[in-house]
Amino acid sequence: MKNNFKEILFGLVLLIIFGGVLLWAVISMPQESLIIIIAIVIVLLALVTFVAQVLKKKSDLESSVPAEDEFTKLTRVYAGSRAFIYSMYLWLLIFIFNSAFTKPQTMLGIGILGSALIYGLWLLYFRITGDMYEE
Amino acid sequence: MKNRMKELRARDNITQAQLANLVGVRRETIVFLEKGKYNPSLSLAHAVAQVFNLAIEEVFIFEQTDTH
Repeated sequence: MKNNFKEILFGLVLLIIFGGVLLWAVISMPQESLIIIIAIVIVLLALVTFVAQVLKKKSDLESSVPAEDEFTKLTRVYAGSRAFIYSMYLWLLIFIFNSAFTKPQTMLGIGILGSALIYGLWLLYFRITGDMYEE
Repeated sequence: MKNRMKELRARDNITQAQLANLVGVRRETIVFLEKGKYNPSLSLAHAVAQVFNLAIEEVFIFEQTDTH
């Protein structure tokens, strides 16, 4: 418990901030309920991932396994470069279909969240398959 | 790049987790190394070769088709 104090505190602060923002959004913008529900789901997913990472790091440290090594660092580099390229396509699509968005904030939000999601998916792909070298 | 890590591990009766611990990487890295999906850095290749008391080229087999 004492070893994870910082992580737990950080998680609680994040939860309070996001929870507060979402509560404010639900109260002040009842007409945007679908977007708010999507945001809540994304925040919950991020929190679950964060807690899982903290627990994994704790068990790794206990069994003296390095949390990061050259392979995991390389997967982040590859995921980042792939995510950059695919994010460009996403932004291109967003700008092509910009008339479908009623507010510029929605367009930007989808672009930013989409880019983060693309990075996460590529990272997961490389961590699972290890297929980093193109034939 | 091919390698003889699996064969040498069996010879020395070392598990993937033990080898990972000896060279200071995660077990997943050893898994991908053995499958030939990941080319190690020179320092990691050296550490692995040292565990088996062999030279790097006796553990890792470089092929002309390998990309740089």
